[in-house]
Amino acid sequence: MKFVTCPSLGRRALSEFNYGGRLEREPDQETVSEKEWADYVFYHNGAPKTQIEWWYHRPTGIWFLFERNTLTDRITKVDFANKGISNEA
Amino acid sequence: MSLQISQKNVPGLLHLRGKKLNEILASFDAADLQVFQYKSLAENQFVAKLGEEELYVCADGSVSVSTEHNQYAFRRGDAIFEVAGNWKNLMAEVCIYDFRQSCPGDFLMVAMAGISAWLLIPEEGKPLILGCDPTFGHYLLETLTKQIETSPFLKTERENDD
Amino acid sequence: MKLRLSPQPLEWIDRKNPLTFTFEGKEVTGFAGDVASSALWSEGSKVLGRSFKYHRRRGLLSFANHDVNALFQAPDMPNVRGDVTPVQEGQMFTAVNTFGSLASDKGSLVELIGKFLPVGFYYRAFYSPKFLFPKWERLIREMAGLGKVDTSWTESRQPKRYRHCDVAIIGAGPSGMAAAIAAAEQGVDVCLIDENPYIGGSLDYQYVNEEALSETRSSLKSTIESMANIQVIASAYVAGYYGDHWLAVNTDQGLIKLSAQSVVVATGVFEQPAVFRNNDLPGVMNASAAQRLMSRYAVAPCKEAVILTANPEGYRAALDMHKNGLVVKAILDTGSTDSEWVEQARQSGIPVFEHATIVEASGRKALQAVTFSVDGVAKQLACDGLLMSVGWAPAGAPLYQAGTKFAYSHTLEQLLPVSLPEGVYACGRINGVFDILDQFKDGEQAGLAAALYMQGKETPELNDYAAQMAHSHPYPIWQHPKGKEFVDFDEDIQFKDLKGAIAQGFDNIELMKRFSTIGMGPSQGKHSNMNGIRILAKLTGKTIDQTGSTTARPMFHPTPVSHLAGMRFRPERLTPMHAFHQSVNACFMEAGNWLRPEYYPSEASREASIAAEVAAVRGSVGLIDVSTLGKLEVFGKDAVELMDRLYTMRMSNMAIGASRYALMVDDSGVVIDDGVAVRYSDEHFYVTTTTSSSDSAYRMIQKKVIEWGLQVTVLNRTGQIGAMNLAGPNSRKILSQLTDLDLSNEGFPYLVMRRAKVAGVDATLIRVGFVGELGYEIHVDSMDALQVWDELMRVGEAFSIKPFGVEAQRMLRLEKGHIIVGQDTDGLTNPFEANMPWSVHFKKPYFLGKPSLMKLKNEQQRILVGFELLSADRNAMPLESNLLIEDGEMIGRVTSIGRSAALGKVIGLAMISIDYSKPDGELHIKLSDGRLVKAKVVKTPFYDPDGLLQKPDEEVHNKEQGAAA
Repeated sequence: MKFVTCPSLGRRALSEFNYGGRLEREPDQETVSEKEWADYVFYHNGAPKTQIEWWYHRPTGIWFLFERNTLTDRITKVDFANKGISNEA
Repeated sequence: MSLQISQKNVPGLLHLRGKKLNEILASFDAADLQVFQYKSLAENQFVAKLGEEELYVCADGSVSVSTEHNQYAFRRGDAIFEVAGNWKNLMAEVCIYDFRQSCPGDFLMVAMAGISAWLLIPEEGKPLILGCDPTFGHYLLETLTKQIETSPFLKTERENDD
Repeated sequence: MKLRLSPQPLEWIDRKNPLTFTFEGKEVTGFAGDVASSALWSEGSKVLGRSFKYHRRRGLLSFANHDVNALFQAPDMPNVRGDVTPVQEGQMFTAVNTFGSLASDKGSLVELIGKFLPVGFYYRAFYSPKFLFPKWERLIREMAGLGKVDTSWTESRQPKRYRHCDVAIIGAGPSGMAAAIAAAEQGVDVCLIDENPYIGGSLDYQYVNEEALSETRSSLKSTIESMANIQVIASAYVAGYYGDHWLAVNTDQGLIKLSAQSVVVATGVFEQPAVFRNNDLPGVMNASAAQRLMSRYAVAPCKEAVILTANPEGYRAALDMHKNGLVVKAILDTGSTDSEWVEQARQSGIPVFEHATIVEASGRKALQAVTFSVDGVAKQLACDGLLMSVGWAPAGAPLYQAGTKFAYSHTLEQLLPVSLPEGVYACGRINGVFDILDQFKDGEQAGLAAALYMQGKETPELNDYAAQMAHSHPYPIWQHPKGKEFVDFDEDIQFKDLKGAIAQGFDNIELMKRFSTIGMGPSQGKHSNMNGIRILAKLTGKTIDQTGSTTARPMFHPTPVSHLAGMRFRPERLTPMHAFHQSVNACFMEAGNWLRPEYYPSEASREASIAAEVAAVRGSVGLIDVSTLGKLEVFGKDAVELMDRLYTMRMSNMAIGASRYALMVDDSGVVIDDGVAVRYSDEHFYVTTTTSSSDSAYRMIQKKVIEWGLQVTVLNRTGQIGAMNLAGPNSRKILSQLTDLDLSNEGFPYLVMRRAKVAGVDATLIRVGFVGELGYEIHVDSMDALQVWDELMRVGEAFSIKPFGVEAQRMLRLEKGHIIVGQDTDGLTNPFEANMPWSVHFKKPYFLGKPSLMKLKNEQQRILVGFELLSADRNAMPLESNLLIEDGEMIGRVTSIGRSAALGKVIGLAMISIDYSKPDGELHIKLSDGRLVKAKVVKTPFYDPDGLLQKPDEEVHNKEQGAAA
């Protein structure tokens, strides 16, 4: 069981969180090609890397973004999921 | 004092959302409350700050919300309990949270025995107040009571306390 | 008490408190604080058990739970560890694994046929030929196996406890105690864990007679006692190390899940036996076992001892014996130890033979003599005890589990940790530190480093205090032409067995282990793995490092399943109306973690009760608790935008006070949720979700609000609001008595929402038609819900109102052809397949899953259709999930089915290939028993296709009601 130190919450067990997928930008529905859309919905590159992920803290209902290395399982950065953040991803 | 849990009846609990809630906090003389802190108002009454735009108010009398500031108030029927005695020992069996990091006055929202709950961290020696969704109240009371009655850890600690 | 010594300075027994227990039916006397083995030994009972395979007599070996010679059966507990379990007054033990009795075990005849049970016997017996397996299995189960489980057991679950500390220290010996103090001095919280009831470890049993250390000892112990930030967890072992410094600590009360920020492993070393002929005779034991026996329990290991040693520790043990007035006939030094020790021994009158070789131990039921040779000359000494001090192996389980690499030191002839993971430290003898003063220093630096590490401070360079001489014999194995040199005492593995395994090609450590079963007994190689590795290395001509070792996985000791299971936390959710349901003995079912009334037993059978509930709704009125629906409040400037984006239908054009079906799909266009949305104001909506998806839908919506950058608040009010559906032709008449609201068709039309007082409380009312009758869904705050329910039931009495459950509702909605998401849809169903193309509004600029649905719209291959059964055979009733077959091919499956009383036939929904979906087309359903029954496609709704009943004007309603009745 891992612990994550979050702003406002302190050190919390990962069991209080739900994983919400990696941070990704949804393609523009108006202009997206079929292939781009299919890539977004179905195809994910599973190669190990450091990625930004959505994590939801159930007791408070707060969404966080963790920077996590999928090979070492080390979480290197934690922040509130600020509104509109995916537009910058 | 031996570990005991009892159900608590409190005046209505209100969940407030919206802008400029600090004015409401100020009316309770709690304008300086930080996020995830609470202030006791009187016996069984408190105000807690869950976020910049979110409060729990448990107090006699009504709170008026302002539509101008998009304030909304919802009644909550949470099941609320009081745990007297060494409540940290009980929490250690149902809650993974490291209570060494909490201070009196903290409004703590944690997972406990598989559900979410909120806790009013008390002054040393005072009972713990905790609440959860009303539909889980029965489950939580039953679970904590069973734990108090059957846990060998708690039994040993009770004997050591006596 | 033949072997009980005079009081020892640090003894654990309470001489004022004698006790008796029975072993094999005989009374044994001991003291409080004794373990079963020490009490038995004190009375001269040296046969404590029979070996696993050959049923040989066994006595003390490690006296530390590193072997299972003393494994006892208690009436309520199998496999009690006699060496470490404190004995209680009146306990009754027998030996395990005996035929007849411990003293006369017919199983020992096995030894006579031992040559027919070669190494790998189990392995090959199980392997082939296959048909013999059951025979072998029966035989082996009968012969082998240890304690007996009481099969009339009752479930027992011990709680688990979470505990947090900054630095956890495993092992409270000299270095562990020093580490605890050094860490605590940095102001951090320390947990010091030891498997013994008292701290002290080898400082107490190896150095008990060292006057110079007594002050240090008491100062260490009193400091630990006095420091508030050191918590001692005694009588507890670390069963496993898990990622991020989690330790599973097993105690008598249950498992402690200890989370630390850094860990110091001060677990020390396991003493390893010498391997020679008859090394398992009772009386032959490790020197450290003898020291524990004397210092903790004041019991002499024997009266006349011979010491076999390869290190100073053997001399120390000899001097301890001497000090207690016991005879040490000789020290057999396998090499030449430091002359100071030899001198000291000789001064005490103990003969020392250097460069000695052990030949064999002999004796009938216990040790009577030792044969050895010096310079090729054999000698024999009569004795009743042989203490072995030939080397050590790391107690490295926590380090291995944390990912530590070990390498073999030829200086020490011992495996040492070489690269430790971050935040993990080792100290003491596991680090090769054998000088007691150095052990304190090594502990201090490890404790300090662990504390600094967890504080995020720089940690100092660690000094190497490892000894500069070997404390282990490089190959403590002495073959004998007649064999019986035991390597693994649990499994009765001899030298020749390993030699045979290697000769047959099992010459890799992992293969040798599994083929020979070395290290696979209850003590998991604690006393045998190191010798096994040495033998394998020697016979294959490899180094110890090349040979490698197996990983000691959790659990360190066998841990009760009840401790691992822990308490069961299974959240159960009750609706606000639960008290009512209970009062009328509702039959409950689980829906997610909710308990819901499945039906209310009003008739003789389940079916009849459900039918009566259905009839009540169709004929007069019924009331169902729908509080389990997910309920969300959506408010704020962008509430409309959010609603349009989340659902497939357009929501922005809803009038205030309107309600609308709300269907949600995911990015791939699959239906994930449905409910009803109502609009309270321009910026305020209220939406329901299905029971099962309230949490996940809320979570997902919260995430989308952030992704889309909308100014809107979403609240999950599921548990805070109670909801009920009053349905049936008489529902309006009941409701009108409890509210001032205008309930006329004009005042409150179908699919419209109103907020009003009902039974005196604020309520949201929606005119819905899920069950196909005039109906009102009433939502109120949870604390008011039971009151409103009770009032509706009271007023409804005049109309013979019936509460109805999930089963009746399923039938009622099926008659209307309404789907249940998750039952009539699966993980791939899109809205077109669900036969709801009307629910998708492509003209909206954006909604979740829109690009997928645009693509799927033109590629539809299956569709949900209604069917009715053509067969009237009551014994040929299909079930949900039965398949539809055409020309031998599967073309779909039944998703819902039931016998409709209103229609007088069996109706259902099926997801089928679109090629077979034409109305009146014939279908064939394959029953679970393989028979095919005929059905035909029919249009839905089955019942009241024009929906006249859910929006009746008075005249039509009366007519239809007559027809239905």
